[in-house]
Amino acid sequence: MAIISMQKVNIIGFKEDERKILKFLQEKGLMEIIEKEEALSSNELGGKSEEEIDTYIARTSFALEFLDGLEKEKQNFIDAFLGAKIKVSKKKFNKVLRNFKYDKVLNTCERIDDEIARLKEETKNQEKEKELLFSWEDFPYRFSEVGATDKVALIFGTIPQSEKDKLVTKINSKLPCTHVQVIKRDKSEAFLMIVFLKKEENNVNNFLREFNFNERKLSYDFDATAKERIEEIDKEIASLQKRINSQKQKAIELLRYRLDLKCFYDSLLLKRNAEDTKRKFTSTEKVLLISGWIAKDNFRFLKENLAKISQNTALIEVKPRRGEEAPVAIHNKGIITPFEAVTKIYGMPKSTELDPTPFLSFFFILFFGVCLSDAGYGILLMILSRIALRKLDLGLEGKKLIKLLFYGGISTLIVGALFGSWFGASPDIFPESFGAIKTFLLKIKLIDPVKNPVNVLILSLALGILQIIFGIGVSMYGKILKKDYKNALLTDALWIIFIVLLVFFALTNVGVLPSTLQVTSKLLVIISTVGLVLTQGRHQKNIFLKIGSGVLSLYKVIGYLSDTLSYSRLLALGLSTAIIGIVVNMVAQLCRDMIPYVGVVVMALILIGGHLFNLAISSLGSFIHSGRLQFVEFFTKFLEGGGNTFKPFRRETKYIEIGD
Amino acid sequence: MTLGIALAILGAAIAVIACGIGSVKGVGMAGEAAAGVVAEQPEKFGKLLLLQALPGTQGIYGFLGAFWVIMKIQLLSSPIDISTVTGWQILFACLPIAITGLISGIHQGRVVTSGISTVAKRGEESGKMIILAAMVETYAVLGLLASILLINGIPVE
Amino acid sequence: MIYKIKIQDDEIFAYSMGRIRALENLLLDKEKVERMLSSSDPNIFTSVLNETTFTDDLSLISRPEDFQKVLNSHLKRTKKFILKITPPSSHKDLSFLWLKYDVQNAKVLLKARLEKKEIRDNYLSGLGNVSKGKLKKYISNNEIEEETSEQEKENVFFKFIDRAKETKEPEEIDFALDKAYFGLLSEYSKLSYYQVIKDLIKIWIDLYNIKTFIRAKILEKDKKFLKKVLTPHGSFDLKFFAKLLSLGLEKLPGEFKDSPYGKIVEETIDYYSKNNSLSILDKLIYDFEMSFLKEENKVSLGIAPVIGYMLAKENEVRVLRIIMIGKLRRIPREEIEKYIGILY
Repeated sequence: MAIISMQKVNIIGFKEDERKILKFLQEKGLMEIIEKEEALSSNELGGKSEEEIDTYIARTSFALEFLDGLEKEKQNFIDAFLGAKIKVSKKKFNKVLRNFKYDKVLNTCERIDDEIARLKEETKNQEKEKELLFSWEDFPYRFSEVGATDKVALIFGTIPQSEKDKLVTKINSKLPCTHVQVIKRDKSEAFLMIVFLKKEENNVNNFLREFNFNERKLSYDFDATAKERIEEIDKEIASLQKRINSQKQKAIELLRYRLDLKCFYDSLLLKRNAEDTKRKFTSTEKVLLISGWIAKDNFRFLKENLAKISQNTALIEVKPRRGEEAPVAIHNKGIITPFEAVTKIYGMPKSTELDPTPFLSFFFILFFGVCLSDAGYGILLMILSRIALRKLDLGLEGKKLIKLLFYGGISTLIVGALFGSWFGASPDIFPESFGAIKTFLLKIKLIDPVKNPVNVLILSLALGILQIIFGIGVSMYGKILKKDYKNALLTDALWIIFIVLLVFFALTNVGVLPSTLQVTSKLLVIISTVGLVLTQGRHQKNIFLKIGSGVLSLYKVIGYLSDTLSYSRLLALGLSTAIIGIVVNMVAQLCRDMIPYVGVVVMALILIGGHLFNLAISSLGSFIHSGRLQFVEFFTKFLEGGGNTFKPFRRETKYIEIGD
Repeated sequence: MTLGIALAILGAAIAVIACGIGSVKGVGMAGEAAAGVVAEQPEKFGKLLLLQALPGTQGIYGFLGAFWVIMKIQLLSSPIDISTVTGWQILFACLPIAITGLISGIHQGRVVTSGISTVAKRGEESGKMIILAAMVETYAVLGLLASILLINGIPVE
Repeated sequence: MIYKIKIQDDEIFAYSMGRIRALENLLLDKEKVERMLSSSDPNIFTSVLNETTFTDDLSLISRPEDFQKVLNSHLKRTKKFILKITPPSSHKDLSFLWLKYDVQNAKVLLKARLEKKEIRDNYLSGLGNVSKGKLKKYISNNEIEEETSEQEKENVFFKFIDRAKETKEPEEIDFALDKAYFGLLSEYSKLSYYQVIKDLIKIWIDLYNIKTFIRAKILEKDKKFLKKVLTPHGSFDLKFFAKLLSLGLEKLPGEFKDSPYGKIVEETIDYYSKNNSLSILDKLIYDFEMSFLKEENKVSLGIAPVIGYMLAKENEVRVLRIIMIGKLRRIPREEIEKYIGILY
């Protein structure tokens, strides 16, 4: 139970065994490796292979993306939600890697991609040419036939639409041997061909300049008209398209290598991870030193197995440097294990602190139950989490979470039965045919939060006070374990007594306890207050400061009071579940009464959908708020937190989970 | 029907509308940010969905407050003829959840949006982000509780 | 009401934030730079950049030497990306980011005009706010071919161009347009709603003034020159700089000690006195900008991360260029590292 004690170790071995040692450590995942103090320049590691790995990783990830672009991989929603990996046994993984001709597949992928890119580029160019040709579309001659002769020249160009007629009139009247032909016109411009005698060139040019003529050089000389050429291009584009498709077809054949590619990718990742880790080693040409942390319990196992790799390898215990904090891992047995998920949300405790997991477990699950507080939902949650455990392929952490929900279901069932809420309905509206069950359910129904919220509020606050006192108790326990008896007694024990007396006093005042005890309780509270004032300032040197900080410490009462009030959320969340349940039932009933014939079907749909929705939203809320009560109200009494999580060097893959 | 009932209904309506606006703002803002992250990292959808849902509870709380009013004056079966003063009382009793729901919804949305930014960078921290956002919700919970207790304490008939 | 408006204004960036936060993971970090620096294989660029958002542009190159193309296309794509993910109402606020490319284009075109040379389109940057064609047409024959929604701001820019046209010295064109640039920036700053834009523009102006002043000081220029090159609207006025002109170089750091730029001035002068060179100044300025943006980027919602991302991308391109050129010229890595500076 609780925090695993860590041991700092060094592995010393020969450089030649490096690969084997690394592989072993990565596979077992038991050791967190510390970076050596002085980093060696990475050049000494013989960078070559590392870059190769990087290049391959990039290439493989490109290939996978490329294949993904062709056909999205189908994944069911839950797997996608959980980000599940593909399970592959170690044997198969190795077999795949042995037989996979990665270079060939990668090259083919790249070639096809290049080819497609090239073909697309080509298509684009053709389209561009086609675009340009469009303005010549109505030009009736073959380009090779058009040209200047000894005496005649031609010029092409555009002119603003407004000027065109003026130009034509002017040319017709002044230069009768010149011919103007309109090839194409659009809104603003006209595209003209002008044929003229060479000897009149100067005149023509002057006219043209006058009317803002913009020359366009004839850049085609092929033996076809524009129209023919456009048709030709269309044909070419179609054939290019065909070639693109055939390349894609080829690529689709590669889809069957997807798993192989993923295995290859992950094997590369493992390799790179190992290479990265290598940088953390201190090594000389021959000798290797790996420094890190392991759990004490694993020491023998590691030592024996390292010796098996090579006789020259040794595992040595070392003393941590001053102020060096050990990484923290927690381990709990049996029923407590799933609660580690809650602790992990908060983060690890310091290596010198207590593991809060066992302490929070009872309260967490109880509060969860009070928040959800519907027996029907409890049963549903138990069933659903059972199914999830059986059917879904969850990781270690995922399993913990689902198990936690299962426990939550049990707790909810119990609390719900006591509150008399079954899918939003109270047992007294159950039909008489339920007979004995109904009587039993009614009998165990102790309190109805909807009718009697104040009682549940008091219950919530009482649970709060209980947990706060328990929290201070845990703090005391921690101090006793560290043999800090003085502080355990003078701080924690005294506060517990004070809070208990305060509650006692309050109870006599509101008349729960006989009022004859009022004076006694008042006296006791005063005595304990004086006790606190006298002791809480004991760290100060000066007598006035002692008393002063003693008085100031009473301010903590305000903190405890607000902590206690925070537990009122238990009632609010419980009510919220209950009321939504009631509303669902009510709406369902209304539908049955109002809709003829199919009313029952609608009712069933609303009941199922509504209650599932309520279950989802309310269990989320219950989990979060129950967790918050642990973190904010409970942990603060005995825990500082902020330990470094133990991160052993191990296999970290992206796609594949390698089995044994 | 009396003015009293109308006032009570107004209270219930304000609770639902104000809290609804708070949640719509919060969930909407968070949803936009989440959509942005999902566009780049679709694998984080699950975590982001949980975060996005958080500011949605205010809307539910507002609805609960309204429902509590409905039950109090038995609006669904045979409405109790409450006096105008009682009507005002119920209307005021609705204000805690209405106002805390509106404002906390928006602010929780902002916390969640920042949380989404963090999750975009460090996916493993989503649990912590959820707890941070829940800190804001506390006040809507307290508002709901106050409204419920207040309505509960108002004598009718 | 004020409360509501405030919330709404940064709320519109929620989606942009989500996308940018996710992409920030892919920006160059120390580890990637280290890998590029320590490798001797030119292909390392391709494999490192494959892990970044550059992936899509990499198809443009067949050899590492084609690098410039990748960087340019990447910046263009980043601009497009930013305009795509941000709400259109913010585009007029964001356009200050690309103003420098307009100015750069105008410089190229105006100088070409002096030398009566034709400029091919691909010598101009496509990142500016004013389209290449429009700018070209305006500079060659004062014509505005089509009105845009940003016409008002563009007109101010064109007015500056008109003024620059009158000068005959290429150097003068630079001064005139730099002044135009900062004048326009302060115009943007005035019109913009966002404080971070105002702050950033002020920093740009200040840093430009400080940089220009130190250069002028070392070249022993006079007050008239300062008046020509320095730009108003910053934290320091001309009088302040003119006063400094009479002080010794070693006294300068003391004068800036109380401003945020104290460290820059101090380190620059220090470096200059040792190496007789100002090459460190640009890096210091980039560092200052990056630290400012990094700090602003901590907001939960708002326009700052968008601006930060674009400028971080520009910085990234700068860093890549330094490393690439350094590698091609076989400059030792320590020397290259000196110019890299802070990453976003």
